[in-house]
Amino acid sequence: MSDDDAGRLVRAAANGDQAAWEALVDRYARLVYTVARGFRLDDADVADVSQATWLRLVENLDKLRDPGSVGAWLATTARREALALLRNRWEVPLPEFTRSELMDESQPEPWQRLVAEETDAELWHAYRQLPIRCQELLRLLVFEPVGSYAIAAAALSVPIGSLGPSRARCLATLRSLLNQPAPQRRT
Amino acid sequence: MRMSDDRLTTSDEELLVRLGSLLAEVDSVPESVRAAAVASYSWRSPDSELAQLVESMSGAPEVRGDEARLLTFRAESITIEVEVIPVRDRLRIVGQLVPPQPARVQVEQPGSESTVGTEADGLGRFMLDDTAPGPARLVCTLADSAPVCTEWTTL
Repeated sequence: MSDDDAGRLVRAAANGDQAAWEALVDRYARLVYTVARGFRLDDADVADVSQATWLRLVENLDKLRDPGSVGAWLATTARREALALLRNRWEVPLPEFTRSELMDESQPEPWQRLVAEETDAELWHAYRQLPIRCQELLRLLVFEPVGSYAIAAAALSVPIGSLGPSRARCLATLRSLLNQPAPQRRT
Repeated sequence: MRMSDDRLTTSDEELLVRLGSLLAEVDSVPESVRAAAVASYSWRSPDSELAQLVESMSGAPEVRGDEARLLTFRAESITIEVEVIPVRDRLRIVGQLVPPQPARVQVEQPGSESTVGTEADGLGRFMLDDTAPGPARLVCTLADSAPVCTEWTTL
């Protein structure tokens, strides 16, 4: 979806078009969810962050300065909502192990399903070998428009200009991992 | 910006698209989360004035074990100051309208079926008990102007 399409949907939704709103949700629900999940919140808090983010879009539909960049706006808003919730709920920091337990429980492993499809399994295997920072970045670059810096920069709260070298490096690493024979292939 | 240097090659784009459909499985959005996003639209209220959250602080931990939060929302015509106090696993909202004035004050929450409301007294004070944690907003219906909604805030 181009920025123009996104902008059109925002303006239509601002004028009462329910179908346009649902199209926006279809496009970006996973982006909002992905950003919220990046903060190691439990499922209920992730749901609250997502809901709060969409409610804020409702109240700002006719106020967005650049409706075409609604994806980046949602990423920024989800990030802020998650940070605000963390500040309020976890005033006393949780021990690290508790956080990673929470994270692991909410992270489904798609292995069983994916092993069936060998190329997907290889890609997944390579992706999981990437440094966490690269996994986070690529995870945010898959949203339309694919490879967009604007959404990733908003979600990570970093300058757009800083992402170019990282994107190239992470993609190159992923590619070289894909070219290696997958170790311990099961039959 | 050096846009030409930033273009993805076709094969990089293909790789990201493949990765995207893979991650769509890992990060698949629960139906309840998606449904809540769709339903958010029903809270559209284009005719009300928005009161922005201008200050949020946690206060008075020495007074009680659970921390109260102080939130200040500002619209052109009115400021709404609230203290959000945890009472077991629910919340009590104690508020003040500035300038002081009587008003109908309701707390709206997407998760709950009914809307709880109260009347602010002549000094603009109000209290709402038994609010559930989660996204919420206050709606103030004033005597002589459009209703004022606070920004959605996760309590």
